[in-house]
Amino acid sequence: MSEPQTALGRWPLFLFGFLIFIAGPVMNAVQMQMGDLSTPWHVPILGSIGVFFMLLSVLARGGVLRIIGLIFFALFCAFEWFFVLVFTVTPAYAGTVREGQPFPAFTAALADGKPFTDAELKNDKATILVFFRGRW
Amino acid sequence: MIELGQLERHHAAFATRGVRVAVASNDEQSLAQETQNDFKNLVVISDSKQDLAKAAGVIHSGAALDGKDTNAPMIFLIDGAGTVRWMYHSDRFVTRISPTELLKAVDSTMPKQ
Repeated sequence: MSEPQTALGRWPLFLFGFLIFIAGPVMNAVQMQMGDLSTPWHVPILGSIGVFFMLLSVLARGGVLRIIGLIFFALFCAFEWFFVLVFTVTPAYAGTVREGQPFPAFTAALADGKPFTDAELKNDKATILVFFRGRW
Repeated sequence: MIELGQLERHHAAFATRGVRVAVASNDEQSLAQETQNDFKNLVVISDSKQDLAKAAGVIHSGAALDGKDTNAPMIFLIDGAGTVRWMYHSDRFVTRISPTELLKAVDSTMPKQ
């Protein structure tokens, strides 16, 4: 099956778009490996640029496989935007803790089972208390 | 556990400033002990009943993978008298402040020990 050869169609635009698309997740993996846990805006942005070039490819050259690929990567790109803009968002802080005020009373335990309470925060040593979640 | 690994690697810088780093999650004690084994210079807290998380107001309702409540990632800097000097709320659960930025916060808000 021959394809229409426009000036645009001579370039491997779909492959170019695909490479830009996967650059986002690859960069994010490298970023995390380096310990940088900032918001990965580059993933959906590069994904969108990649999908744009895939769209150009489909417009220039058509082809069922390209159209299927475009739909797949467009949906994946939509998921990336959803992940960054909606899924990962945490609610605004609504607790009662305020700077300049004592930390509230609590009871928890250390890893070895010994109790850890607010009294442990008043031992003349400053504490950075980090709430974490997940094991990644 | 990238965040805890970063904090562990910077533990000497925190210790120099007279600050200990305590990390809390709703993990059961056995899992907290595994975490403690991996990060020996951090103080690992098991807050399985989420009493500490409720006191701090960091509960993220229904956000765990199983639909239960979990913690919103958050950091409090508390001085030796138990007073909160600085706090950081992450707007996304995949986003964290770097240890370098945390050290800057310590230097700017805590008097020299």
